[in-house]
Amino acid sequence: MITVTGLNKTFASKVGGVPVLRDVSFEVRDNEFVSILGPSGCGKTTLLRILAGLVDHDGGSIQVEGKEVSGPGPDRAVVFQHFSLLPWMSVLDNIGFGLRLRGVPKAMWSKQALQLAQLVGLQGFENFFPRQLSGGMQQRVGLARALAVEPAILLMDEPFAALDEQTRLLMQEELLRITQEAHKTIVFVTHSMEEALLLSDRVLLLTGHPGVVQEYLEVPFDRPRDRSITTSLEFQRLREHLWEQLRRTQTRDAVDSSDVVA
Amino acid sequence: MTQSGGALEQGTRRSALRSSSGLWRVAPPLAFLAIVAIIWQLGAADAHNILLPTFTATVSAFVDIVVGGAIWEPLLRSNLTMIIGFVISAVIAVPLGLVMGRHLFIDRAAAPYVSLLVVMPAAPLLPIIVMMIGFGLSAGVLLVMVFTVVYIVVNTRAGIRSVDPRLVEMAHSYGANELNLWRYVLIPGALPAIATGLRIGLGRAFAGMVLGELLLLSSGIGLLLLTYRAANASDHVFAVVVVLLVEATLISSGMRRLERRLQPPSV
Ligand SMILES: Nc1ncnc2c1ncn2[C@@H]1O[C@H](COP(=O)(O)OP(=O)(O)OP(=O)(O)O)[C@@H](O)[C@H]1O
Ligand SMILES: [Mg+2]
Repeated sequence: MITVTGLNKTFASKVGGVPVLRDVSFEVRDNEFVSILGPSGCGKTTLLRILAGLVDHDGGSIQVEGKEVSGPGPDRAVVFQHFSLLPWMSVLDNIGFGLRLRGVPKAMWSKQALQLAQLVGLQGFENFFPRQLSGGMQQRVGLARALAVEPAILLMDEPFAALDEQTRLLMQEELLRITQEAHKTIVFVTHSMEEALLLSDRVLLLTGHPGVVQEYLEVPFDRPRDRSITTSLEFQRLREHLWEQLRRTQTRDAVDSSDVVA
Repeated sequence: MTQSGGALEQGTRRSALRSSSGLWRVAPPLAFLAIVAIIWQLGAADAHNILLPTFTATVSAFVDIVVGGAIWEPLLRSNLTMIIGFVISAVIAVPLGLVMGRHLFIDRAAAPYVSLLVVMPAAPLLPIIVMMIGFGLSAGVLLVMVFTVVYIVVNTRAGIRSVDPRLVEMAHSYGANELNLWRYVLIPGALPAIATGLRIGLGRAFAGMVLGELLLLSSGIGLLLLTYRAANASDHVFAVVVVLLVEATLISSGMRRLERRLQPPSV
């Protein structure tokens, strides 16, 4: 269970503070899949980094299982938007990196890394280096590295945004499959409405500068799911609704900024 | 390599290409050398100047000092100075560059002096060094260090700076402590730049060694050069210079090879 209450974040800058998140409150239940959806620059990555304990926040509280977050922890693992693989390590060493940092002996972490390579469909590529892999394969290494440390919570920052359409669809299905097998709490940042609706139990809509919670939307589809739900009327209705919300705030922002200029 | 398609048998064709491309790399500089040698020979013979030996005289002097052995002891001594100076430089400069790259405060503290050393020519420091510690081996070593240290520092620091901060954040998210960070992220990321710094540094150490011995310290190769010059044995002076050129070439190609081996597989 993740509980975020009244979270504020302002980045210091030369021209004064840049407020990025204001009064953000939500909770994520155990084994729930929550997407954070919002336009570029509304603070999604910042929120995720705060959840990961990689940056401090200035107000409010974040609790994981009732304990205040004060840094990275073994209960959480991040899948990064830009993969962040170590170029000088093989696929196997990259996947085992988190385990290795935790002092797991080599025989054990390499065995586990091998299994995970299999799980994400990278068998045969264990000794390749990241530059020898396609973007989709690199992102799978990032996913396997996160799964390897068996975190209760998986934090994913637009993990599929850099992929081509076809690879993205495949990876989404793979993620559906993996999460339906291994029970995990997942916070998933995306700017794709379809992706959010397809994968999530709830969608946290974040909008504006600074980002505020616009809505926390239930996605009522049963699991296990597959892509066929995207053609349903309900899916179209939810998508339309999200679009309506986003458009409203976008045009409001546009009006705001034109006021400032005038 | 340009390769026009053809029905030649692959194996023989490839080996033919390789040997011809090897020849192609060596042939032009050799041809150039031959032309220079001919002009040199004719010009020097024509000039009748004892300060300008002919090409053939230089070659025979070269054989004389290499086979006769006059070069080896001074060469060894000079190289000892250079190697000691270079190793001490690396031992000081690499760690300094590493911490400067990572810690803003230390960087702030050291940066002005480092950039001063980059701009400032090292030669004016020679008399000061001699005044401080005399003419011995340690003066030579210190001189080599003055020439070398700063280039290794600057490259190492740049190497640490060039490490992607997102990789550092990734390692943090998996619980890396400072030691893990250095071991798995910072040092491997900076290694190519460190290798470059060491290569440039060794070249500088070589230059520092020769210059110092010539101008002040009168030992090793420098002393040998001065002795031959005093005896008006200009062919031998040239021969010593040729030996130095050969050594410089060997050092630089050896270091380049090392540098390439230290490149991460990503490059
Ligand atoms: N380290 C930082 N220092 C100062 N400002 C920052 C920093 N990181 C982010 N910001 C600012 O915070 C705001 C939100 O950034 P963030 O990366 O969280 O957005 P995002 O919602 O993830 O956008 P995108 O969808 O484009 O990835 C931006 O306006 C950005 O300029
Ligand atoms: Mg982002």
